[in-house]
Order: sequence, then structure tokens, then C-alpha cells
Amino acid sequence: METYQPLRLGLLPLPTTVSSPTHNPDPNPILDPLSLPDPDLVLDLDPLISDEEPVDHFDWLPDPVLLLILNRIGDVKSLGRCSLISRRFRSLIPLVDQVYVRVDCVIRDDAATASTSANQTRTRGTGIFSHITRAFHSISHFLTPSRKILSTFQSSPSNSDISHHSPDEVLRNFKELRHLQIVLPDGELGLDDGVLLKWKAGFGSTLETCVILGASSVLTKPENPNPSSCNKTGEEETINNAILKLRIIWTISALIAASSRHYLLEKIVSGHETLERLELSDKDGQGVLTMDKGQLEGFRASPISASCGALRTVVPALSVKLWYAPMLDLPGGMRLEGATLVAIRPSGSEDLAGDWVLDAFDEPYQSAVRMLMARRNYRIEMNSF
Amino acid sequence: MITLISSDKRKFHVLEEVANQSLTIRDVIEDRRGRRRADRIILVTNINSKIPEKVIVYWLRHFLMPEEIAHASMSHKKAEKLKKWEAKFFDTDIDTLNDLILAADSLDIPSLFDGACEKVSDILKNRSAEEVGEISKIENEFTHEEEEEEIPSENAWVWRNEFA
Repeated sequence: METYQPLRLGLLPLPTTVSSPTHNPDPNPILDPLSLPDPDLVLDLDPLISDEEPVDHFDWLPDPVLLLILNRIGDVKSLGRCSLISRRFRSLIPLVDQVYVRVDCVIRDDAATASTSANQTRTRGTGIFSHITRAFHSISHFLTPSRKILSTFQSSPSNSDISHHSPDEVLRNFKELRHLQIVLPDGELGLDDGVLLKWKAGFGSTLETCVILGASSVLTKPENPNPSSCNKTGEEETINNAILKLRIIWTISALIAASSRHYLLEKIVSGHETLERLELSDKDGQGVLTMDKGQLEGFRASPISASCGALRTVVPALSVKLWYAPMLDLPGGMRLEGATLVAIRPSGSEDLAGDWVLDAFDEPYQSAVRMLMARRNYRIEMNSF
Repeated sequence: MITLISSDKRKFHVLEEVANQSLTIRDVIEDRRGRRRADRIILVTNINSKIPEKVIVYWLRHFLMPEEIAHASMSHKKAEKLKKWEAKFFDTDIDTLNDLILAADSLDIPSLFDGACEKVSDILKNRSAEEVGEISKIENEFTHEEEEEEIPSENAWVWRNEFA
């Protein structure tokens, strides 16, 4: 939130007189200066008052104050309704610099395209990828359109009358956007009950950082409080093949979801040069894609490379660091089983365990990250896909 | 003692320590320190007595705990209580809120300014299109063509991930 800067509108420190120079001399002043002792300070709270009929209740508020109020609204639909209040509102709303957009529905590509993308990966993939192609196919169905949403959408009776607006269309009205937050109706990853998977990715023109926190099950109130302390064998600490495979699938699913979101943003980023911060999250709280000022500039400077045939951007070759704990008891009483933390940066980056990993998630997940980072880790290199 | 006078000539006497919450008034008091004046008078023109009254009520509520508010060291219970009180305080009509914003700006009372702005934006945010229309005093300023160009507010938003 911006720091408050007093505008000091209409502040007229006049020691002895009441009438202010900005006013037309009023034949019948409300206050008779002679009847009052010398005032120290005259606050004329209404320097702009005119004889015209007021248009709305906001007539007396100066533009900068009204803009401050509008900036707090954020929600684009509410702003749209506000633009109906008066011409003044309408002229001010394009100057709002903090906007929040809730997307009602995302239509993703059809299944055919998704499988093309899977094939693409299979032919290109080496090493780790070739082992998990089958698993990868099952991921691709996460990324096909959510039938439920589509069908409710299509069965809507007035469907043909509804004009659909994409966020970039709607945001075109805003010329001074600095902070933009977009929320998708749901997370892309179809997860089984109890599975926790959260990701946070920073993008420029391509993936720059990604942190993933996963757990095969989450218990809010474990029955026996602390079994891990009496049961610390080295055997349990090591990660076996099946466990590792599942972690890799999580990682790739999250990366695909992130790069698909990245792909959606091109028009918005190129259309709003004033943007300083962008956040694309979902209602389920699965993933957050962020871009800061420098990253947005990078995105504008070098055009994104779309992954051939897939509706996402190419994920570069990556260095991956993975932490694993069979069981993790968090301070708030939550227990994660098969807890996994993954930190990802493009190959060649050294810092794979900095503050950007620690600060990726809010509590209680931040504690989980901290606890996991104290454990042994595994390094993996991934090819671009 | 500070005296505030509203446009309807009502006088409000306030302790200096209380009125000090207005940075504007504090500056004036500082400037005039040493001059022998029993009363200091602040004129608030074009504003009816309702606003100084509200401002003073706000001051008094906050007077008791300025340090705590500034350093956010309030106990959870106290903070909740203050929050409740503020919600009630700001639960008023838009005209009053707008006057409060102007007063808070001129008198330089950041917390009051913020609180009132927050409330107005909440009101604007939570109204339906029809209700927002009621805020507007005139029937409708816009021609039909203008209506067409408005930011779509009620329709579904669809983000189609298309082939490049």
C-alpha cells in the first residue's frame, strides 16, 4: 500500500480573515470574521465548490483523492460498475494503477493438442524423461479442459448472447497499470484427495525460478504426535525410485502448468508498459506465477518461444535441487507425509537454496520449507522441454 | 485548549493534547508557542458541525493509545475492540465519509483519512450496478453509445488459450 501523502487541499492559513482568495467574494458569508476572535488557522474544506448543481456525492473530492479511493477497489468488475456513476469516474478509472481480475473460465486447448505436446516431449526427452513417458501421458489429461467448467458454461441458456471478454481486452482500458493480479478459477493440476502440491514461479521471458512444495498426504491432526523422533533410521531418509518418480512427475506437472500460464500473459505484458508487478494465481491456491519489474522488461524485450504445438512457453534446461522427508510435523499441528521441496533455476545458476526458496510460501508451509532445507538434498539436471 | 468552529458557528473545545493528532494543528500550535493566547481557534468553514464532532470523537478514541497504534504493540483483544469501534464509526453515508476525507486531509490525520477512504472504496466495491447508479444524483449522464463502451462488468470472462 502506498504511504499516505497529505494533499493539503484548500489549506489556507489566514490569520485574520475568513474569505479565501480562491473564492468569489460571498455577499453573505456564513462566518462573520468580526464576530470571532482571531483564528490561528482557517481550514476551508471546500475550495472548489461551484454554483453548479452537484453531479454526484463525490463532487467535492478532488481527483487525486478519488483516484486513491478507486485504487483501493482493485476488482475490475467493481470498477466497471463505478464507471457508470459519472463522466468523471469514467475519466478517472483508466488511471487506476492497481487492478485485480478474477477470470471466470479458462478454455484450454483440446485433448489432441495436449497429446501432441506430450509426444513432443517424448521425442525430445532424454534421461529422466524417457522413464516417465507413460506417467507423463497421464499428466497431460490434467491440462485438458476441465469438462465441468466447460459444460456449465455451454449449457448456460443465454450463452449465445453473452459477449466473452478476455482479460487483455478488458485491461486495455487501463493505461497506467502498475500492479496487476489475476486469479484463475481453478488450479490446473488434477490432484488426488489429500495430496498437497503448491508452486511459485518467477518468469521473465522464460522460467527464472520455481519452488514446489508437495506432500503425498496431509494430516491436520495426527494421532500419535511425534513418531519420527523415535524412529530415525537412515533407511527411511533415503528416497527410493518410486518416490523419486512421483516427485519428478509433480515437478514436471507444475512446470507445465506454470509455463502454460506464462503463455497466456504475452498480450497483457506487451500492452501495458507501465506494469511493475504481475501475479497470476488460482482460487485453489495451487500455483502463483509472478513477474517483477525487471522480469516484465525481459519479457517485453525478448519474444517468448512457444513450445512447438503446445500452448505454453518452452521450459529451459534446469538445475533442480530436491529435499525429501518421509514425515514432517509442522508447528501448527499439521503433518506432511512424503514431504518434498523442489527448487528450480535454469542450468548454470548456483543459488538453489536462497531466500527466494524460503520466502516462497506463507505459513504453515514456510516452516515446512525451512525444515526441509535443513535435510539432505538431491541434485537433478533437466533438459529443456 | 483549542476551539474548533464549524460553519454553523458551533464551537468545540478540545484539549491541545487531543487535537495534536492533527499534524496541521500541531504545527500551528508549535508556531505560536510563547505567544500569550489562552485560546487557539481553528475555523473549519463550509462544513457543518457534524464533521468536527466526528473528528473529535475519533480523536478521543485514539487519544488513549496513540503510542500503541503507532508501534502496533496493541494486544490482540484491544486491536479487535478498536477495529469494531472503527467499523461502527465509519458506518455512515457517503457524503459524511467524503467530508471526513476532506477534513482528515486538511487537518492531516493519516489514520482517519485512510479509514474513510477504505470505507468509501468498500461501498463502491460491494454495490451492484443499480445501487451504484443510486450514488449518482442525476439520472444518467451518458448517451446510449457511451453506455456501450463501458467496461464489461457483468459478463463472464473467458480466457481462451489459442494457437499462436
